[in-house]
Amino acid sequence: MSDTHSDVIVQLVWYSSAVLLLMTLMLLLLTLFMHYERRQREKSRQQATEQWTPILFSWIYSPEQTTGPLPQLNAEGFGFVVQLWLQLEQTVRGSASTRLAELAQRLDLIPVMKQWLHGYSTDKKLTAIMALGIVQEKSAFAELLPHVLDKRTIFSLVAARALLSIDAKLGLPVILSQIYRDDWSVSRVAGLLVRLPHDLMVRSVTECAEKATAKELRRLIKLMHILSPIDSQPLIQQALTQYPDEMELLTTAFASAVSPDLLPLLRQQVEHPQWEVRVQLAKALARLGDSSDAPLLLNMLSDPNWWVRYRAAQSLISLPGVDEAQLQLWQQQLTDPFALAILLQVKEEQQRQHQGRT
Amino acid sequence: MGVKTVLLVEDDELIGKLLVFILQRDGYQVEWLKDGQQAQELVLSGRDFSAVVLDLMLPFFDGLFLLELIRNQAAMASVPVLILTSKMGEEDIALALKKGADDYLVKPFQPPELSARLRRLIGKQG
Repeated sequence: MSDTHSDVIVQLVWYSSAVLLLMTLMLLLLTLFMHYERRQREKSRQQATEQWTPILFSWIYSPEQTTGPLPQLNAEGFGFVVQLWLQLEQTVRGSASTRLAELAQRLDLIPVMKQWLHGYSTDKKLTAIMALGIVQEKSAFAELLPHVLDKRTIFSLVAARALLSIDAKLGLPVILSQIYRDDWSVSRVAGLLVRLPHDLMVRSVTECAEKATAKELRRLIKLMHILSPIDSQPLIQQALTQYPDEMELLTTAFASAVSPDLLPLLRQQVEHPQWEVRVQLAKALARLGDSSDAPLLLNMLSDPNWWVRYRAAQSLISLPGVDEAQLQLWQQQLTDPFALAILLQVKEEQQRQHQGRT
Repeated sequence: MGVKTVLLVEDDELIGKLLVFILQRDGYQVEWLKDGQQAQELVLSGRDFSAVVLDLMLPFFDGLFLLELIRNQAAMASVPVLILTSKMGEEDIALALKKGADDYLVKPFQPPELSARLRRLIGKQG
Protein backbone atom coordinates (compact mmCIF):
# COMPACT_ATOMS: atom_id res chain seq x y z
CA MET A 1 0.00 0.00 0.00
CA SER A 2 2.77 2.42 0.98
CA ASP A 3 4.90 1.38 -2.07
CA THR A 4 2.01 2.20 -4.42
CA HIS A 5 1.56 5.53 -2.73
CA SER A 6 5.27 6.37 -3.15
CA ASP A 7 5.14 5.38 -6.85
CA VAL A 8 2.28 7.82 -7.44
CA ILE A 9 4.22 10.63 -5.75
CA VAL A 10 7.38 9.88 -7.76
CA GLN A 11 5.33 9.83 -10.95
CA LEU A 12 3.70 13.15 -10.06
CA VAL A 13 7.08 14.77 -9.35
CA TRP A 14 8.46 13.42 -12.60
CA TYR A 15 5.56 14.74 -14.67
CA SER A 16 5.62 18.10 -12.93
CA SER A 17 9.34 18.44 -13.58
CA ALA A 18 8.85 17.55 -17.22
CA VAL A 19 6.07 20.16 -17.60
CA LEU A 20 8.18 22.78 -15.84
CA LEU A 21 11.18 22.02 -18.03
CA LEU A 22 9.04 22.23 -21.15
CA MET A 23 7.58 25.55 -20.05
CA THR A 24 11.05 26.90 -19.28
CA LEU A 25 12.23 25.86 -22.72
CA MET A 26 9.21 27.49 -24.33
CA LEU A 27 9.83 30.70 -22.41
CA LEU A 28 13.47 30.65 -23.46
CA LEU A 29 12.49 30.17 -27.08
CA LEU A 30 9.95 32.95 -26.86
CA THR A 31 12.53 35.29 -25.33
CA LEU A 32 15.03 34.43 -28.06
CA PHE A 33 12.39 34.97 -30.72
CA MET A 34 11.41 38.36 -29.28
CA HIS A 35 15.07 39.37 -29.07
CA TYR A 36 15.57 38.33 -32.69
CA GLU A 37 12.43 40.21 -33.75
CA ARG A 38 13.62 43.33 -31.97
CA ARG A 39 17.03 43.16 -33.59
CA GLN A 40 15.49 42.65 -37.01
CA ARG A 41 13.18 45.59 -36.45
CA GLU A 42 16.05 47.80 -35.32
CA LYS A 43 18.05 46.70 -38.38
CA SER A 44 15.14 47.57 -40.68
CA ARG A 45 14.76 50.92 -38.96
CA GLN A 46 18.44 51.68 -39.43
CA GLN A 47 18.36 50.61 -43.07
CA ALA A 48 15.29 52.72 -43.78
CA THR A 49 16.80 55.71 -41.97
CA GLU A 50 20.13 55.43 -43.80
CA GLN A 51 18.44 55.05 -47.17
CA TRP A 52 15.77 57.70 -46.74
CA THR A 53 17.46 60.46 -44.71
CA PRO A 54 19.49 61.75 -47.70
CA ILE A 55 16.41 61.50 -49.93
CA LEU A 56 14.34 63.59 -47.51
CA PHE A 57 17.13 66.15 -47.08
CA SER A 58 17.59 66.51 -50.85
CA TRP A 59 13.84 66.82 -51.32
CA ILE A 60 13.83 69.87 -49.05
CA TYR A 61 15.92 71.72 -51.62
CA SER A 62 15.19 70.29 -55.03
CA PRO A 63 12.38 67.78 -55.46
CA GLU A 64 12.82 68.09 -59.23
CA GLN A 65 16.15 66.27 -58.93
CA THR A 66 14.50 63.46 -57.00
CA THR A 67 11.56 62.79 -59.27
CA GLY A 68 12.94 59.41 -60.31
CA PRO A 69 11.47 56.29 -58.78
CA LEU A 70 11.67 56.32 -55.01
CA PRO A 71 13.03 53.18 -53.32
CA GLN A 72 10.50 50.43 -52.70
CA LEU A 73 9.12 50.21 -49.18
CA ASN A 74 7.51 47.35 -47.31
CA ALA A 75 4.90 48.05 -44.64
CA GLU A 76 7.46 48.16 -41.83
CA GLY A 77 9.84 50.41 -43.76
CA PHE A 78 6.97 52.69 -44.66
CA GLY A 79 6.25 53.19 -40.96
CA PHE A 80 9.85 54.18 -40.26
CA VAL A 81 9.95 56.59 -43.21
CA VAL A 82 6.72 58.22 -42.05
CA GLN A 83 8.25 58.76 -38.59
CA LEU A 84 11.36 60.27 -40.17
CA TRP A 85 9.27 62.48 -42.44
CA LEU A 86 7.18 63.64 -39.49
CA GLN A 87 10.25 64.53 -37.41
CA LEU A 88 11.65 66.51 -40.29
CA GLU A 89 8.36 68.29 -40.94
CA GLN A 90 8.44 69.46 -37.32
CA THR A 91 12.01 70.73 -37.72
CA VAL A 92 11.63 72.90 -40.81
CA ARG A 93 9.03 75.33 -42.09
CA GLY A 94 8.37 77.44 -45.16
CA SER A 95 9.24 76.06 -48.59
CA ALA A 96 11.09 73.13 -47.01
CA SER A 97 7.92 72.02 -45.27
CA THR A 98 5.85 72.47 -48.43
CA ARG A 99 8.27 70.29 -50.39
CA LEU A 100 8.14 67.59 -47.74
CA ALA A 101 4.35 67.67 -48.00
CA GLU A 102 4.76 67.10 -51.75
CA LEU A 103 6.89 64.07 -50.96
CA ALA A 104 4.06 62.76 -48.78
CA GLN A 105 1.81 62.92 -51.85
CA ARG A 106 4.38 60.96 -53.86
CA LEU A 107 4.48 58.33 -51.12
CA ASP A 108 0.67 58.07 -51.17
CA LEU A 109 0.69 58.85 -47.50
CA ILE A 110 -2.88 60.11 -47.08
CA PRO A 111 -4.87 56.88 -47.68
CA VAL A 112 -2.50 54.98 -45.39
CA MET A 113 -2.78 57.63 -42.69
CA LYS A 114 -6.57 57.46 -42.90
CA GLN A 115 -6.36 53.70 -42.35
CA TRP A 116 -4.06 54.24 -39.38
CA LEU A 117 -6.49 56.80 -37.99
CA HIS A 118 -9.16 54.13 -37.68
CA GLY A 119 -6.82 51.32 -36.57
CA TYR A 120 -6.12 50.01 -33.08
CA SER A 121 -2.49 51.05 -32.69
CA THR A 122 -2.20 54.15 -30.52
CA ASP A 123 1.17 55.10 -32.00
CA LYS A 124 -0.10 54.84 -35.56
CA LYS A 125 -3.23 56.80 -34.71
CA LEU A 126 -1.17 59.65 -33.24
CA THR A 127 1.18 59.61 -36.22
CA ALA A 128 -1.81 59.72 -38.57
CA ILE A 129 -3.38 62.71 -36.78
CA MET A 130 -0.11 64.64 -36.93
CA ALA A 131 0.60 63.70 -40.56
CA LEU A 132 -2.89 64.58 -41.83
CA GLY A 133 -2.61 67.93 -40.08
CA ILE A 134 0.79 68.67 -41.55
CA VAL A 135 -0.28 67.89 -45.12
CA GLN A 136 -3.47 69.93 -44.45
CA GLU A 137 -5.67 67.17 -45.80
CA LYS A 138 -9.11 68.78 -46.05
CA SER A 139 -10.95 65.48 -46.54
CA ALA A 140 -9.69 64.32 -43.13
CA PHE A 141 -11.20 67.24 -41.19
CA ALA A 142 -14.41 65.43 -40.22
CA GLU A 143 -12.52 62.27 -39.29
CA LEU A 144 -10.17 64.23 -37.04
CA LEU A 145 -12.97 66.11 -35.31
CA PRO A 146 -13.89 63.39 -32.76
CA HIS A 147 -10.24 63.13 -31.68
CA VAL A 148 -10.32 66.69 -30.30
CA LEU A 149 -12.92 65.40 -27.84
CA ASP A 150 -10.71 62.45 -26.83
CA LYS A 151 -10.23 62.24 -23.06
CA ARG A 152 -6.51 61.57 -23.54
CA THR A 153 -4.80 64.97 -23.43
CA ILE A 154 -2.12 64.21 -25.98
CA PHE A 155 -4.63 62.93 -28.56
CA SER A 156 -6.94 65.89 -28.15
CA LEU A 157 -4.16 68.49 -28.37
CA VAL A 158 -2.49 66.88 -31.37
CA ALA A 159 -5.89 66.67 -33.10
CA ALA A 160 -6.57 70.32 -32.22
CA ARG A 161 -3.32 71.36 -33.87
CA ALA A 162 -4.17 69.27 -36.94
CA LEU A 163 -7.64 70.82 -37.29
CA LEU A 164 -6.22 74.34 -37.07
CA SER A 165 -3.62 73.49 -39.66
CA ILE A 166 -6.26 72.13 -42.07
CA ASP A 167 -8.91 74.83 -41.60
CA ALA A 168 -8.38 77.40 -38.86
CA LYS A 169 -11.75 79.08 -39.42
CA LEU A 170 -13.70 75.86 -38.95
CA GLY A 171 -11.36 74.35 -36.38
CA LEU A 172 -11.07 77.26 -33.97
CA PRO A 173 -14.67 77.19 -32.62
CA VAL A 174 -14.29 73.45 -31.98
CA ILE A 175 -11.10 73.99 -30.04
CA LEU A 176 -12.49 76.91 -28.06
CA SER A 177 -15.52 74.79 -27.13
CA GLN A 178 -13.05 72.63 -25.18
CA ILE A 179 -11.59 75.54 -23.22
CA TYR A 180 -13.22 74.21 -20.03
CA ARG A 181 -10.82 71.23 -20.03
CA ASP A 182 -8.45 71.40 -17.09
CA ASP A 183 -6.00 69.07 -18.82
CA TRP A 184 -5.53 71.68 -21.55
CA SER A 185 -3.27 74.30 -20.02
CA VAL A 186 -4.13 77.79 -21.24
CA SER A 187 -0.53 78.37 -22.33
CA ARG A 188 -0.68 75.20 -24.48
CA VAL A 189 -3.86 76.45 -26.15
CA ALA A 190 -2.21 79.83 -26.66
CA GLY A 191 0.69 78.00 -28.32
CA LEU A 192 -1.79 76.45 -30.77
CA LEU A 193 -3.38 79.79 -31.57
CA VAL A 194 -0.34 82.04 -31.68
CA ARG A 195 0.26 81.83 -35.43
CA LEU A 196 -3.39 82.26 -36.46
CA PRO A 197 -4.55 85.48 -38.13
CA HIS A 198 -5.10 88.00 -35.33
CA ASP A 199 -8.60 89.06 -36.41
CA LEU A 200 -9.84 85.50 -36.67
CA MET A 201 -8.45 84.67 -33.23
CA VAL A 202 -9.96 87.75 -31.54
CA ARG A 203 -13.35 87.31 -33.21
CA SER A 204 -13.59 83.61 -32.34
CA VAL A 205 -12.53 84.04 -28.71
CA THR A 206 -14.93 86.95 -28.25
CA GLU A 207 -17.82 84.96 -29.77
CA CYS A 208 -17.02 82.00 -27.56
CA ALA A 209 -16.96 84.28 -24.49
CA GLU A 210 -20.54 85.44 -25.14
CA LYS A 211 -21.93 82.06 -24.08
CA ALA A 212 -19.17 81.12 -21.65
CA THR A 213 -19.62 79.94 -18.08
CA ALA A 214 -17.62 81.71 -15.36
CA LYS A 215 -14.89 79.05 -15.52
CA GLU A 216 -14.70 79.21 -19.30
CA LEU A 217 -14.63 82.99 -19.28
CA ARG A 218 -11.76 82.97 -16.78
CA ARG A 219 -9.74 80.70 -19.06
CA LEU A 220 -10.66 82.76 -22.14
CA ILE A 221 -9.44 85.94 -20.40
CA LYS A 222 -6.15 84.24 -19.55
CA LEU A 223 -5.85 82.98 -23.12
CA MET A 224 -6.53 86.38 -24.65
CA HIS A 225 -4.21 88.05 -22.15
CA ILE A 226 -1.35 85.84 -23.40
CA LEU A 227 -2.17 86.36 -27.07
CA SER A 228 -3.26 90.00 -27.14
CA PRO A 229 -3.67 91.72 -23.73
CA ILE A 230 -5.56 94.73 -25.05
CA ASP A 231 -8.18 92.50 -26.69
CA SER A 232 -8.86 90.80 -23.35
CA GLN A 233 -10.33 94.04 -21.95
CA PRO A 234 -13.90 93.56 -23.33
CA LEU A 235 -13.89 90.07 -21.79
CA ILE A 236 -12.87 91.57 -18.44
CA GLN A 237 -15.71 94.05 -18.73
CA GLN A 238 -18.08 91.15 -19.41
CA ALA A 239 -16.75 89.26 -16.37
CA LEU A 240 -17.27 92.22 -14.05
CA THR A 241 -20.84 92.82 -15.16
CA GLN A 242 -21.99 89.24 -15.78
CA TYR A 243 -20.32 87.39 -12.89
CA PRO A 244 -19.75 89.89 -10.04
CA ASP A 245 -19.71 87.11 -7.42
CA GLU A 246 -17.23 84.73 -9.03
CA MET A 247 -14.08 85.29 -7.03
CA GLU A 248 -11.63 83.30 -9.19
CA LEU A 249 -12.93 84.93 -12.35
CA LEU A 250 -12.74 88.41 -10.88
CA THR A 251 -9.19 87.99 -9.56
CA THR A 252 -8.08 86.79 -13.02
CA ALA A 253 -9.92 89.72 -14.59
CA PHE A 254 -8.26 92.27 -12.28
CA ALA A 255 -4.83 90.74 -12.83
CA SER A 256 -5.32 90.90 -16.62
CA ALA A 257 -6.59 94.49 -16.75
CA VAL A 258 -4.27 96.69 -18.80
CA SER A 259 -6.61 99.45 -19.96
CA PRO A 260 -7.42 102.51 -17.80
CA ASP A 261 -10.84 102.50 -19.50
CA LEU A 262 -11.76 99.69 -17.13
CA LEU A 263 -11.05 101.78 -14.02
CA PRO A 264 -14.65 102.92 -13.35
CA LEU A 265 -15.80 99.28 -13.35
CA LEU A 266 -12.85 98.08 -11.28
CA ARG A 267 -13.35 100.77 -8.63
CA GLN A 268 -16.93 99.57 -8.10
CA GLN A 269 -15.53 96.41 -6.52
CA VAL A 270 -14.02 98.25 -3.55
CA GLU A 271 -16.74 96.87 -1.28
CA HIS A 272 -16.58 93.35 -2.70
CA PRO A 273 -17.28 90.82 0.08
CA GLN A 274 -14.26 88.68 -0.84
CA TRP A 275 -10.91 90.11 0.24
CA GLU A 276 -9.05 88.36 -2.62
CA VAL A 277 -10.95 90.58 -5.06
CA ARG A 278 -10.20 93.73 -3.05
CA VAL A 279 -6.47 92.83 -3.02
CA GLN A 280 -6.49 92.53 -6.79
CA LEU A 281 -8.27 95.88 -7.03
CA ALA A 282 -5.51 97.52 -4.98
CA LYS A 283 -2.87 95.95 -7.23
CA ALA A 284 -4.70 96.97 -10.40
CA LEU A 285 -4.89 100.57 -9.17
CA ALA A 286 -1.10 100.57 -8.81
CA ARG A 287 -0.80 99.69 -12.50
CA LEU A 288 -3.62 101.72 -13.97
CA GLY A 289 -4.71 104.28 -11.40
CA ASP A 290 -3.92 107.99 -11.08
CA SER A 291 -3.90 110.56 -8.28
CA SER A 292 -7.71 110.59 -8.25
CA ASP A 293 -7.56 107.06 -6.80
CA ALA A 294 -5.83 108.28 -3.62
CA PRO A 295 -9.06 108.68 -1.56
CA LEU A 296 -10.17 105.17 -2.53
CA LEU A 297 -6.81 103.67 -1.57
CA LEU A 298 -6.73 105.68 1.69
CA ASN A 299 -10.08 104.09 2.56
CA MET A 300 -8.70 100.66 1.71
CA LEU A 301 -5.95 101.21 4.32
CA SER A 302 -8.69 100.57 6.89
CA ASP A 303 -9.83 97.31 5.28
CA PRO A 304 -10.40 94.47 7.81
CA ASN A 305 -7.99 92.24 5.83
CA TRP A 306 -4.25 92.78 6.34
CA TRP A 307 -3.34 91.90 2.72
CA VAL A 308 -5.79 94.44 1.34
CA ARG A 309 -4.34 97.14 3.62
CA TYR A 310 -0.77 96.16 2.63
CA ARG A 311 -1.41 96.19 -1.14
CA ALA A 312 -3.41 99.42 -0.85
CA ALA A 313 -0.47 101.09 0.95
CA GLN A 314 1.94 99.87 -1.76
CA SER A 315 -0.36 101.16 -4.49
CA LEU A 316 -0.87 104.48 -2.74
CA ILE A 317 2.87 105.13 -2.51
CA SER A 318 3.37 104.20 -6.18
CA LEU A 319 0.60 106.47 -7.52
CA PRO A 320 1.89 109.05 -9.98
CA GLY A 321 2.70 112.40 -8.34
CA VAL A 322 2.84 111.07 -4.76
CA ASP A 323 5.88 112.51 -2.96
CA GLU A 324 7.16 112.55 0.63
CA ALA A 325 5.27 115.74 1.49
CA GLN A 326 2.00 114.20 0.30
CA LEU A 327 2.67 111.04 2.32
CA GLN A 328 3.39 113.11 5.45
CA LEU A 329 0.11 114.94 4.99
CA TRP A 330 -1.83 111.67 4.70
CA GLN A 331 -0.07 110.26 7.76
CA GLN A 332 -1.24 113.24 9.78
CA GLN A 333 -4.80 112.91 8.52
CA LEU A 334 -5.17 109.17 9.18
CA THR A 335 -7.18 108.45 12.31
CA ASP A 336 -7.29 104.64 12.03
CA PRO A 337 -4.17 103.24 13.81
CA PHE A 338 -4.18 100.14 11.51
CA ALA A 339 -4.17 102.33 8.43
CA LEU A 340 -1.32 104.45 9.79
CA ALA A 341 0.69 101.38 10.83
CA ILE A 342 0.48 99.72 7.42
CA LEU A 343 1.37 102.94 5.60
CA LEU A 344 4.44 103.43 7.81
CA GLN A 345 5.45 99.78 7.37
CA VAL A 346 5.29 99.92 3.58
CA LYS A 347 7.07 103.29 3.53
CA GLU A 348 9.89 101.85 5.63
CA GLU A 349 10.13 98.73 3.43
CA GLN A 350 10.44 100.89 0.33
CA GLN A 351 13.08 103.10 1.94
CA ARG A 352 15.09 99.99 2.89
CA GLN A 353 14.80 98.63 -0.66
CA HIS A 354 15.87 101.99 -2.05
CA GLN A 355 18.89 102.13 0.30
CA GLY A 356 19.77 98.54 -0.67
CA ARG A 357 19.87 99.52 -4.31
CA THR A 358 21.99 102.63 -3.74
CA MET B 1 41.19 80.74 -49.61
CA GLY B 2 40.62 77.62 -47.47
CA VAL B 3 37.33 75.97 -46.63
CA LYS B 4 35.64 77.63 -43.68
CA THR B 5 34.82 75.43 -40.70
CA VAL B 6 31.64 75.80 -38.71
CA LEU B 7 31.31 74.38 -35.21
CA LEU B 8 27.85 72.86 -34.76
CA VAL B 9 26.60 71.98 -31.28
CA GLU B 10 23.28 70.11 -31.52
CA ASP B 11 22.15 67.09 -29.50
CA ASP B 12 19.23 65.95 -31.68
CA GLU B 13 20.41 63.30 -34.12
CA LEU B 14 18.12 64.12 -37.05
CA ILE B 15 18.39 67.90 -36.69
CA GLY B 16 22.17 67.55 -36.38
CA LYS B 17 22.33 65.49 -39.57
CA LEU B 18 20.11 67.98 -41.37
CA LEU B 19 22.28 70.90 -40.27
CA VAL B 20 25.44 69.10 -41.37
CA PHE B 21 23.75 68.51 -44.74
CA ILE B 22 22.75 72.17 -45.08
CA LEU B 23 26.13 73.54 -44.00
CA GLN B 24 28.11 71.17 -46.23
CA ARG B 25 25.80 72.03 -49.10
CA ASP B 26 26.69 75.67 -48.48
CA GLY B 27 30.37 74.78 -48.78
CA TYR B 28 31.45 74.69 -45.15
CA GLN B 29 33.37 72.06 -43.32
CA VAL B 30 31.44 71.03 -40.21
CA GLU B 31 32.59 69.92 -36.78
CA TRP B 32 29.48 68.48 -35.09
CA LEU B 33 29.38 67.95 -31.34
CA LYS B 34 26.38 66.48 -29.56
CA ASP B 35 26.73 67.71 -25.99
CA GLY B 36 27.88 70.63 -23.90
CA GLN B 37 30.82 68.84 -22.35
CA GLN B 38 32.44 67.95 -25.67
CA ALA B 39 31.82 71.48 -26.85
CA GLN B 40 33.37 72.94 -23.70
CA GLU B 41 36.53 70.88 -24.21
CA LEU B 42 36.78 71.98 -27.83
CA VAL B 43 36.26 75.64 -26.99
CA LEU B 44 38.92 75.46 -24.27
CA SER B 45 41.35 73.79 -26.70
CA GLY B 46 41.64 77.15 -28.46
CA ARG B 47 40.74 75.94 -31.97
CA ASP B 48 39.54 78.55 -34.40
CA PHE B 49 36.24 78.41 -36.30
CA SER B 50 34.59 80.65 -38.84
CA ALA B 51 31.25 80.48 -37.00
CA VAL B 52 29.36 78.55 -34.35
CA VAL B 53 25.79 77.23 -34.67
CA LEU B 54 24.65 76.55 -31.14
CA ASP B 55 21.57 74.92 -29.62
CA LEU B 56 20.56 76.18 -26.17
CA MET B 57 19.24 73.01 -24.55
CA LEU B 58 22.13 70.57 -24.42
CA PRO B 59 23.26 67.75 -22.14
CA PHE B 60 25.85 68.62 -19.43
CA PHE B 61 26.33 72.33 -20.19
CA ASP B 62 23.68 74.48 -21.80
CA GLY B 63 24.16 76.75 -24.79
CA LEU B 64 24.26 79.97 -22.75
CA PHE B 65 27.13 78.64 -20.65
CA LEU B 66 29.00 77.73 -23.84
CA LEU B 67 28.26 81.13 -25.31
CA GLU B 68 29.84 82.85 -22.31
CA LEU B 69 32.79 80.50 -22.52
CA ILE B 70 33.27 81.29 -26.21
CA ARG B 71 33.16 85.02 -25.54
CA ASN B 72 35.79 84.63 -22.78
CA GLN B 73 38.24 82.66 -24.95
CA ALA B 74 40.73 84.82 -26.78
CA ALA B 75 40.78 82.50 -29.82
CA MET B 76 36.99 82.50 -30.22
CA ALA B 77 35.89 85.80 -28.69
CA SER B 78 35.10 87.35 -32.06
CA VAL B 79 33.73 84.23 -33.79
CA PRO B 80 30.09 84.81 -34.86
CA VAL B 81 27.64 82.67 -32.92
CA LEU B 82 24.19 81.85 -34.28
CA ILE B 83 21.75 80.39 -31.76
CA LEU B 84 19.36 77.80 -33.23
CA THR B 85 16.85 76.67 -30.65
CA SER B 86 13.22 75.89 -30.01
CA LYS B 87 13.16 78.41 -27.15
CA MET B 88 11.11 81.28 -28.53
CA GLY B 89 10.43 83.41 -25.46
CA GLU B 90 11.31 87.10 -25.64
CA GLU B 91 13.44 86.73 -22.52
CA ASP B 92 15.42 83.79 -23.94
CA ILE B 93 16.16 85.75 -27.10
CA ALA B 94 17.11 88.92 -25.22
CA LEU B 95 19.35 87.00 -22.82
CA ALA B 96 21.21 85.16 -25.59
CA LEU B 97 21.81 88.40 -27.49
CA LYS B 98 22.92 90.10 -24.28
CA LYS B 99 25.41 87.33 -23.61
CA GLY B 100 26.98 87.86 -27.00
CA ALA B 101 25.06 85.86 -29.59
CA ASP B 102 25.24 87.46 -33.04
CA ASP B 103 21.97 86.02 -34.31
CA TYR B 104 19.04 83.94 -33.10
CA LEU B 105 16.85 81.53 -35.07
CA VAL B 106 13.90 79.59 -33.71
CA LYS B 107 13.09 75.97 -34.64
CA PRO B 108 11.23 75.00 -36.78
CA PHE B 109 13.46 76.99 -39.11
CA GLN B 110 13.71 77.72 -42.82
CA PRO B 111 16.93 76.20 -44.21
CA PRO B 112 17.53 79.00 -46.77
CA GLU B 113 17.14 81.58 -43.98
CA LEU B 114 19.74 79.79 -41.86
CA SER B 115 22.14 79.70 -44.82
CA ALA B 116 21.63 83.39 -45.55
CA ARG B 117 22.09 84.50 -41.96
CA LEU B 118 25.21 82.42 -41.50
CA ARG B 119 26.67 83.67 -44.77
CA ARG B 120 26.07 87.24 -43.64
CA LEU B 121 27.70 86.62 -40.24
CA ILE B 122 30.76 84.96 -41.74
CA GLY B 123 30.98 87.66 -44.42
CA LYS B 124 30.89 90.39 -41.79
CA GLN B 125 33.74 88.74 -39.96
CA GLY B 126 35.73 89.01 -43.17
